[in-house]
Amino acid sequence: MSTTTANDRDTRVTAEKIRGSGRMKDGRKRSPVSMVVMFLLALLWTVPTIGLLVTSLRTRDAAATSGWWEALWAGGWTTENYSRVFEQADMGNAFINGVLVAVPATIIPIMFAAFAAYAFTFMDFRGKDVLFISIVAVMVVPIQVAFAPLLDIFGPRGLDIAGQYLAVWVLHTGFGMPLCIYVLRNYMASLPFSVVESARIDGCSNFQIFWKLIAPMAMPAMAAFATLQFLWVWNDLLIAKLFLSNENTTVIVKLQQLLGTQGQGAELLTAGAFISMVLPMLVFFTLQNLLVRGMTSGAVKG
Amino acid sequence: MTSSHSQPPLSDDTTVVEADPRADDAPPEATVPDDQGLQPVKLLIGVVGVAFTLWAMLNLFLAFAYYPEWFFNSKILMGALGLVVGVGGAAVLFYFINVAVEALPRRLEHGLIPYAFLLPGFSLIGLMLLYPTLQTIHYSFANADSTAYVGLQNYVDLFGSGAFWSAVINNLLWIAIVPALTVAIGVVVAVLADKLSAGGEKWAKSFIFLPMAISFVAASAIWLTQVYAYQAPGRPQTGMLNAILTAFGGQPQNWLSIDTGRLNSLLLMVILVWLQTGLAMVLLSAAIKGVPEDTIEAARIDGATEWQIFWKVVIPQIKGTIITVFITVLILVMKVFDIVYVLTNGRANTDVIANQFFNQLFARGQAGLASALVVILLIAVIPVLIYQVKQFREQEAMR
Amino acid sequence: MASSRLKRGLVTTTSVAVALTLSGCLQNPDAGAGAGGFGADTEPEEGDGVVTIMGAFGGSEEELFNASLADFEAESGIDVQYVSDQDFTTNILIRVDAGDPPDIGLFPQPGGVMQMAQAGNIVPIDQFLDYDALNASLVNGFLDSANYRGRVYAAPMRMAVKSIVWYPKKAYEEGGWNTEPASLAELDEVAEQIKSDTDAAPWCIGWESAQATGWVGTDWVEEYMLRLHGPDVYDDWVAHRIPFNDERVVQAIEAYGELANEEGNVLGGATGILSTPFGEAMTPAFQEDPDCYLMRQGNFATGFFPEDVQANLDEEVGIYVFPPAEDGYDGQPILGGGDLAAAFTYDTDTIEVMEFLTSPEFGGPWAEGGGWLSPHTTFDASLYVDETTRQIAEMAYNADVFRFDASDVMPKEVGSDSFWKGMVAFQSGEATAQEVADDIENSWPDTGDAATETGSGR
Repeated sequence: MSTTTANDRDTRVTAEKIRGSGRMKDGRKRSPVSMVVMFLLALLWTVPTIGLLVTSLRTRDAAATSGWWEALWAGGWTTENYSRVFEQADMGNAFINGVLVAVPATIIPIMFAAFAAYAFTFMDFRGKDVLFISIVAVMVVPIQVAFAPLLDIFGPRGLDIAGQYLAVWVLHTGFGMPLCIYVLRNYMASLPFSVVESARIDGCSNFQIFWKLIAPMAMPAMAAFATLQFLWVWNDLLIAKLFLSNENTTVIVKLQQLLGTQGQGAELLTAGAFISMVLPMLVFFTLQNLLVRGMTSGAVKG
Repeated sequence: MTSSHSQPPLSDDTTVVEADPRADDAPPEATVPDDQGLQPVKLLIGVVGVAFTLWAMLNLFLAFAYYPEWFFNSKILMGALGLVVGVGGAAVLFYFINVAVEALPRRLEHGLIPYAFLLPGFSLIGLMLLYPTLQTIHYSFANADSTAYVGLQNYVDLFGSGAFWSAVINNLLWIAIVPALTVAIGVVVAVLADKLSAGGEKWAKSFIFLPMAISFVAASAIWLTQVYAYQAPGRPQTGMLNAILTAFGGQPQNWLSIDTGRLNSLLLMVILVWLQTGLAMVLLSAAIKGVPEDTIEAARIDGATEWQIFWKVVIPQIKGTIITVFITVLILVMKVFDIVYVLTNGRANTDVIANQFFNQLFARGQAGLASALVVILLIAVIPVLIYQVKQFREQEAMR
Repeated sequence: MASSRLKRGLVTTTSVAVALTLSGCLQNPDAGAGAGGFGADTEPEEGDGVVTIMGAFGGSEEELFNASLADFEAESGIDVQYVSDQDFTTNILIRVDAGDPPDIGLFPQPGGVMQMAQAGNIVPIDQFLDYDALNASLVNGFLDSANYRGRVYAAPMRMAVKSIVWYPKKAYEEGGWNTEPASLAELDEVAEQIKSDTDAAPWCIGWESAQATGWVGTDWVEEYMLRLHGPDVYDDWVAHRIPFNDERVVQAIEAYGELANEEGNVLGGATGILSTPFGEAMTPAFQEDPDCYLMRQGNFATGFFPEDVQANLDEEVGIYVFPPAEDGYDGQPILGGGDLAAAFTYDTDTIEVMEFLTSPEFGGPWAEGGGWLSPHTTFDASLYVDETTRQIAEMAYNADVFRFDASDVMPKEVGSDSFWKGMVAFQSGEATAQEVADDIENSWPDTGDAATETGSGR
């Protein structure tokens, strides 16, 4: 809250001050206030993660007897946590599993949801409100209530696919769908309706309109949701543990399996948390390019 | 009339029978110039295409499970095929659905196509979320192992328990504080990042986003051990809060047990805000990128200050996304449980409804009470639903 | 208009009705009970060469467990696949409900075994193991913990001993305090001496254990229950034949309170107890100048000691048994726990693995690796990695009575929930011992008493 008010003052000052000051390569004005505020926010947001990084590089004894910020002079550095994670768990296999689970489970729901969101945004039909309400409503239901019936369907008494990637793909597709439809429908609602209207008059089918017009225009929202869904699937513990067999299981499950009966080995989890963060951050870096100005703004202005 | 069915496949069948005679002798509707009436061949192609696609996808997927040796037991091959078939299959499926529906007379086509587009997504939601939800509502009127009805007893028990009301108060606090704070910081970050150079923006956003890459459980552990940790007075403090406090001569505090002013709940909320600002930023940033540059330029030429541009030009155009993010975080907050579970498990007045649900279901095996708690969450989300529908209608009226 | 609204209403109602019909069935209360055909006369099926085991321990314990099975696997040709799950207690239930149980479950809590036995999901061990031989070599009374309605459904694979007092050897011996206190009163004397001789607190106590905070407190109360009132009252208490708010239970909680809440007796006082992770409780005892000296904790505590201490355990750490009360039960009780192996399938391979897991021959490599105790008195003690471990094993083998951790046997509503939370409320001063006991008594489930009635038998 206080950030907003501070911003209030700053931006006004900036507007006057920066006139005539330096410009960036793309011609926009440089904004020192933005730079300073963003730097501070980024720092604040990163401090706990830095703490985690430092702790993951310290011995258990050192972490228990001095704060991580004291590591510079108190010492206790080691890379043993990392080496032990790789020794004790088959991380290579777990990473492959994680990717093989997460990529389809990220893209498939977007595929289905985009069509549904298109229908919700650009078409009129009976029961639209009821269906949309049910989508928002089920989002609030804890997914644990679905485990028992779904294990029946996927387990040995049903399709017998529990333990396979397939089960988890389907599950994440289903559980991610409401939020995906919701996000995409709200984004599509901000797109100009006139484009769709004129395309219809030109005789385009809905399928064509969707593929040629709406899908490209909704790319930022899809990329944004893809980022979130990927993270969610990657970091999921519950579904992976119940629906994936041990040789198909993901990084997060493998990490949890490093713990002993009374939680011995918790210091390995600091290193593990870092190892498991690498890939999501790479994904974010990559998908970020889809979120950048210019790529879509032309289409949106239409 | 057909469009009043909620199940398109059924409608397909009935339509074929009913529409046949019309295709033979009735001329196309005059009001729709390019309506070709029923095109049986196209319809057949569509229906067969849908059936074949579904059959092929299903069997291929099952083959991964049943006959891994067909794929040389290669996980990567199966994963790649899964992706290609999942996405490509979905596209082909929608294509054939579209073909089938287009083959129908115009009026029917218009009525059916929305359901056709919704069907695949909704059948999954129906199976995996709607059905368990209805079952949960049903079980909320039954006993601990869902074997006999107990009427409203679960609700009576809940409303009579002090722990429940304490959790409700906490939930209300979470709802009042976390979504608003997350969205506010998210907007600030998204707007400010937009003003940085491309490289600067990328890095700054990555740092804000960083916590998103950490699982809830790991994040909770980080805050517990790095920030809120307590050591006896006189011993070196390992938590940052206590280290700062003792550096200024204070006594170390066991932060998470201080429920004066629900301070401990507030400290838990900080973690969620820290985690979710990344989400708000990603979605809001995408929206801000969608604000047409010319509207901003126009305002600038009119002499508006940056501040005025922000409030009068940018905010109205991203209002939809702000609401989306707000409600997404709101719903997340309503079912927040990991953070509370790991850090306090509801001790010292920090309990929330979702954590009670988890404890009732798994620690105590009280399926009835747990289901009733879910129903309470469902009731609590009704205002959001009403608002959504109102907004929905407004948006459509504006067209 | 009206008709379209009516139609819409009808559609909605119909679809809701359809969905309700689908979800409108209660669970079959008899489902699973007695199913599986584990009758006494049933012949075991032929095994398929693979036996899956699910347990709660991972990391280095998992490695040593697998190492302990390596020779057996090579000899028998059976492939044993172990999966660890930190949420074993919850997830085993879900897996069983889905019809997808492992072949063998390693239960950290007898409560879970009872639940499975009641539902008829596991095979009684007398059906395929030599019960008498087992009973003869196991620590006295261990098999009772898996007794459901007169039949035993699981056998221990590992033992934990909880009644141990740990101290930093050098500093403690320099202080010249009693290393063999024979009664709780003598132990109190030691504490008083430490307080007067040093600036430090005598006791190191830490309870914090994330969502499970409070279990250390329940162990303390169990120790006092055993010592003040003896194993028979203890069994009555566990099986709910006496109410939880019986005055003897309140007395046991208060006995712990006297030790913990006395000014200067515990490092950090009540706040310190509640917010110190149980694994780090003793860390201040191993400094040059200890901040506290004594910790009562199970044998697994060694895994949390600083690395230099672990590396040199016999020199750095001393132990003695948490002594009996002079005016209470006449004899040395030991509180403990363990992992109980139970079979979900009844085939020749599973039986072979069960036989080996529960035999005194199992666990050599694990004993050499450390952190494991055999529940068999006949186990070759020379295999244990250090003198300290041998001493602990001796404690259990020589005990007059061994009792399983009560909170693991009680219904999980109590044992893994209200008992934990009640102890936290007591320690934080929010509630008196009587109030805590009343609250826990109220949380005792009405049904399910039958499951535990015979739980701890004798």
